[in-house]
Amino acid sequence: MRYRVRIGEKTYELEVEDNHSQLKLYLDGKPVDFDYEIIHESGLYSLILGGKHYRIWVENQKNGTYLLKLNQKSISAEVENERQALRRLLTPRKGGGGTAAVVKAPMPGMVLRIDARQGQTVAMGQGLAVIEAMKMENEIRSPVEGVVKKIHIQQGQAVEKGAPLFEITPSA
Amino acid sequence: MATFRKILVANRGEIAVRIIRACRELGIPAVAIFSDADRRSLHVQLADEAYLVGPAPSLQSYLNQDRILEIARQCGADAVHPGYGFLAENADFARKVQKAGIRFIGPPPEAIELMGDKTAARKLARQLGVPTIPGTTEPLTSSDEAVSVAADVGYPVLLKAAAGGGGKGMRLVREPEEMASAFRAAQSEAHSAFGDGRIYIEKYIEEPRHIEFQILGDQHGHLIHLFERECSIQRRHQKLVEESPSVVMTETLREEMGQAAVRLARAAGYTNAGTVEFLVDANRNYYFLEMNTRLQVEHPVTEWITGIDLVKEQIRLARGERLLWQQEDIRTHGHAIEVRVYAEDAQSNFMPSTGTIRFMQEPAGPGVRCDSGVFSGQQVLPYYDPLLAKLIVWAPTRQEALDRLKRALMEYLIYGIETTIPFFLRLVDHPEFRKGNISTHFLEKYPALVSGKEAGDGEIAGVIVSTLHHLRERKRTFVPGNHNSESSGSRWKLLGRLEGLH
Repeated sequence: MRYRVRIGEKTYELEVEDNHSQLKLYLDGKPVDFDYEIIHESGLYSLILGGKHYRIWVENQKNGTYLLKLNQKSISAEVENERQALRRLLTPRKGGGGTAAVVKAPMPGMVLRIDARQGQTVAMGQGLAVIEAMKMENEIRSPVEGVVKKIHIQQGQAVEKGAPLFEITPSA
Repeated sequence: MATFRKILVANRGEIAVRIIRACRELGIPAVAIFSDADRRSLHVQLADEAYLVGPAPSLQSYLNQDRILEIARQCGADAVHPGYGFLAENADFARKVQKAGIRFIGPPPEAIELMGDKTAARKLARQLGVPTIPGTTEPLTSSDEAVSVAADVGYPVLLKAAAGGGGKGMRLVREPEEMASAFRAAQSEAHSAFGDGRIYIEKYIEEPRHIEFQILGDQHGHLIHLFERECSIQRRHQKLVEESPSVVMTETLREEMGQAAVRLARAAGYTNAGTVEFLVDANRNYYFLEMNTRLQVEHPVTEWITGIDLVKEQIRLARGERLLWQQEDIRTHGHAIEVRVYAEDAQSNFMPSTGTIRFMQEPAGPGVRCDSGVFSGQQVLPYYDPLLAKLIVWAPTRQEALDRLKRALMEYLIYGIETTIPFFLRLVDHPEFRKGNISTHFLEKYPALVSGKEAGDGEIAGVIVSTLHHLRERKRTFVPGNHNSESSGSRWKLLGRLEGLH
């Protein structure tokens, strides 16, 4: 099976030969000298690559996107096999839709205060709401100059990370 | 002297674990309290007895004084250890505990009240001839008053909560125009954090070091200090690194500041463990900041260089026992450094990070101590302080301690949530930090330390492991008849053509 792995700007092609008892890898056509053990089911691997040892933790963030931790640093990798790549390319993209900027919660927390009203014109960087997380108050600011199109939250409400808070229609 | 029958630990997280450990070593049963959200937490698992205190929000659980007292009475505890935070510096609670015939492991309520009120504490310091930072001694009534005081002492100024600590309700104001909004923010933060919105103002010292002295006092009028801790590496007034000894300390300065700390504590009628905080400027002038009338987060640093178990001492002293040492008996050896592992993403501006710890492995080996409140499988919730654990290292010299810290940080695995560990690794290699050229403004001076996000090396290893993991996941969800012969020929050519169309 062939895989394509993208890390940052670089794309690697990896061919996997799975002969039941033995796994062989070819990176960009060249055979890879490797050995691995799964240290913990949650995603901790011990990888020996040409004699060099790597302790790596890997987590599937969403389909095909993996967060890797190596030496206390993070690497984000996108993995797809040929069939997945094909499916991605043949699926028509969703239309661009509205142009409103969606302000999302940067962290989970509680909405302490809402400072913006629907229909209000706000400046870039203007405070829209305050979210309390772990006892600290964090001001949520408008990323653009525009009009508050929609408010998704109420005071006192708990929000998850990434939850939509506001929609701002940018001024032309 | 009779020992305590049973100690109720009125806290959670790593400090509750720390106190339970001391109780265990003294052979005293330890009682944990837990909120609905903490049933599975480590402090509950280690306790001899555990009782539900209330729903997740602190106000209804770890701050619910009556409920905690009810539990103490029902389980027959004859002492309460408050830890730090929550009710640790609440004089009313200490008083209620005493009235119930239970010993409060900490200073007398009067001393908590006096030193807990920053304004009163600074007044006392001035009376004793201990230097303080210019500013108000009375709480401010309005932002207009703040503007007029600031004009007297000179900008920049700092707004601080009278009841505060830990950076809550604190704002830096560099010019009059910023005052109104900063005042409002400080007041509301102080009110929500401490139920007390009183604010005072002081001159802001540029490039200061935060140096504090550990105090121990018995109920027979004997007080000593256990030398200093330097806690200059802070972010938003929140300590991140603490060490002892401080690189700027001289014998004379240590003696002078230590004596000032003891003098203040004595005048306040202080007993048990406490900490007197100072700012030290570039010319080694020191200014009294405040006194923390409780056990500090960073107490392990002092424990390691002096060999004194502060929590056990707190328990002994609360029983009315005498201090075992004179000041000259206290010696230090080597260098200790503590770093605070918070559930904050050091690769994304310290954003709070919550979720489940999927895998955890603590560092160990020579000169390494880990005071943790979490374990693999634990959920980290947004209700409480984000401190997960403290990593403390000791070595004969500061340089060796830093090398050891780096080694231990590399061993420390916490996966599933993000932590401040990557930040400490950047810091430990910073040449100015290595030299000890630090101040409480260090992170403002070197912002890359905070926001740094460096891509990891070992890309090829990453490619291989992510693919192996992908393969494994697909095998797990394998459905018979649903697998095409993917090894037959290459489709990449076709893909290449398709990609060209996009």
